[in-house]
Amino acid sequence: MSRYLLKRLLSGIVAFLIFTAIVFFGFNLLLPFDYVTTLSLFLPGNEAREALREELGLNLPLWRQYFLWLGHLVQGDFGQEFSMGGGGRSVTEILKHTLPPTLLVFATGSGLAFVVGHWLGKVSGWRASRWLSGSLTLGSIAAYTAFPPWLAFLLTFVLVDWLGVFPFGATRLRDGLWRDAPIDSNTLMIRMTLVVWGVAAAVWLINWVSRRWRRRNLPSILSIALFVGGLGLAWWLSEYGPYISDIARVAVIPFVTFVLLAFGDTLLIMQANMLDTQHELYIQTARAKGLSEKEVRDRHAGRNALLPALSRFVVNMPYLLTAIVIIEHATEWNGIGNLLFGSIYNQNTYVYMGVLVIVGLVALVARLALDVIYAALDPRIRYGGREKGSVQ
Amino acid sequence: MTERPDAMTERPGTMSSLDLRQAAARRWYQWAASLRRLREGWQIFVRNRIAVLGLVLIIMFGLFPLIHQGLRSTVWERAAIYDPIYGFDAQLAPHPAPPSWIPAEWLPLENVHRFDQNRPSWAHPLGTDTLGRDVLSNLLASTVTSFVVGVTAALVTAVIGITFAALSAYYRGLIDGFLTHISDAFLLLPPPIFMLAVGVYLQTERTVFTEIVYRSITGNGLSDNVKLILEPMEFGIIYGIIAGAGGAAIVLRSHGLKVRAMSFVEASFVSGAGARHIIRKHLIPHMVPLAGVYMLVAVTGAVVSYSFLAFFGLNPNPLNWGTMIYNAFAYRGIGSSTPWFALTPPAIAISLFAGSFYMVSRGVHQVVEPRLRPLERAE
Repeated sequence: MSRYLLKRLLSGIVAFLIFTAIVFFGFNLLLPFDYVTTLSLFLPGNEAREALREELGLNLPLWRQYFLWLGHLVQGDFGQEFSMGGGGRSVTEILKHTLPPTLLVFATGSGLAFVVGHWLGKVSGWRASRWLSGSLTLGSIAAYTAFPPWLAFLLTFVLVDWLGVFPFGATRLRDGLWRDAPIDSNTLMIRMTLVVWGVAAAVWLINWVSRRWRRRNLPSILSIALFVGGLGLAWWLSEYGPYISDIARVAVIPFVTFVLLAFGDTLLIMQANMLDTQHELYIQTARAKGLSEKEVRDRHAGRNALLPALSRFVVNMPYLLTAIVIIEHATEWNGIGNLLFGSIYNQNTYVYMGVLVIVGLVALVARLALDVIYAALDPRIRYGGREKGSVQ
Repeated sequence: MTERPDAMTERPGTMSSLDLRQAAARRWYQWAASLRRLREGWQIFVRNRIAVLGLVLIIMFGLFPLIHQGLRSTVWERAAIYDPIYGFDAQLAPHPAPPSWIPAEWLPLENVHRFDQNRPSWAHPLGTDTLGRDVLSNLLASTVTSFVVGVTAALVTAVIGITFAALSAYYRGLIDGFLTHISDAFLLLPPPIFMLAVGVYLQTERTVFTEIVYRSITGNGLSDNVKLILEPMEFGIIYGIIAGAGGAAIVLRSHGLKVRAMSFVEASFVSGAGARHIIRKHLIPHMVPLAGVYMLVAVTGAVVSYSFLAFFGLNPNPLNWGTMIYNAFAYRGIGSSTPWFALTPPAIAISLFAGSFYMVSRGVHQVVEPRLRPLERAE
């Protein structure tokens, strides 16, 4: 098993290196000229431009730039942003400021999208009435293929202009509140993400204990109530109440848009997987044992359908990150999406490379984690070592 | 070169008339069999209502350009008004006085804002956009662009995906490792983000600013030899390369490996068939149906990405739903409020167009993959 994982790790690293090369050369060759030309208005004369190029290392051949950057990346250094007067901030610093907002929306939103998509797909794929499954399928296709900026605009319109839920300044944090706040908004966002996942893990743990003890899952309603109650308790216990609600108020629109865009894919795949498992003999066996239909669905079919859905979800992670980029740009949510747009416009090479490396790394780590899960769950890999059940 | 004993090919010149008749009969049987398979597939496809709905939608979109031509040559006799790019209605454009019941102080600028300017009317069934152009005309005319983008992306996806997969599945070993790693790398790269760089490239080329800069450096301009618009077909090709080398290649490869291990391929190999024969006659025909599913999914992705590029002002093609949405937002200040009549139809059109191909892909997938079909109900 460890040999298999090592092999997957090595091949993942190779794929990642190819990815960086494609992105670096692709973008540098596609984008016209370089960073210095975008500043030409401020730098009249070829000498000044050439001097700046030499200072920034842009006069080197492209492959040397790439390997210099790669050498620093291996040491965990993302490089520096270009700037005219010298003294650009380091990309790590920039990412530290822009990653938390994205993380808040992405980490919580994709979790919710997966849970919702999984549950609805399970219900609609398993002998549901034709109307239920048809309408769910159509609805999820509509959400999946919706035009993201349009969806964000529509939600903003409905929530802000029409219903008046957040009447004023819906897309920005309140300046007055944060001026002498005891905590940085980015730190708070990371803590919020952790708390959401922590409460989810706690609910899962309670569920697991109940399964061990009473051989039965908690009712879904109770799980949801526990989750919401846990979040409320965390809010009540923390001393940053108003700050948390301010962040939540701004995050609602990107969050809901993201969940709407992301859950459809999981639902459709889950549906297909449920249809796939119903031919299996163990389903017939379970029925013949006299188990209730719900038990067959949840414990026998649902569990086996879960793993392919999860792997599809992980493989699709770059696409979900793209969705985040688009949504952030459309809703003025200041995360890595807006950073990516800005740096591509300015041709600030190392900044957009930094963002894309983060995107690639998240996808890669998720896939390696999935490999570990597969290896732990699939006896063919656990004992055999032949990669029959490998992802994809 | 020694001659191999080859059971599969008959040497020319040795055929009697009986052989010829047998060959013709065999061809006929094969043809009939493939027709029968097609009909069975169609019956399975039809049972999936959602897929049929998708097919109907695609046919409807296919009729759009024809309807546009028809309308422009018959009902819209003053064709200049209905030109999707340059046309505007002179009766709406001069902005006549607002209704008298509105107090004058409510009007932010005198006579500029006319409240019912964009409303649908008999002359403009879907209303006009903020610049006075007919929305229906633009909507119908833009369908061609979406079809070109989608179909090109689909074809390129299939070609690249099948090539990668067939080579990996047949040769395995080193070639397989090489191609799989490339596919893995492409899987980490979301096509819309890559297309963003393409869009910025074109946009930067277009601006007067860069033109001036470029002139100051080199002494001559760009615009003589640089294309200003990313042709829909070029977009489709780039998108297809990324999508085909990524997701499609990986799924097709695992299917190809399964086919490669089947006994009829082994038999063919043993009886002396070469790489070309096995890839062309065995591997590719077995991959094509599954590739069809990924082609349809690629259409969805390509059309949404193309519009998404336009939405951010990076795609200057005027005949495009994304550009319509972009324009509706960009000229929002001209009208009094949100230009719903210019916004909603293209947004719905993008969703429906992309969704219809996705729906059909689900139906095709059920035909290709018997395990995905729903069980017959017992009752």
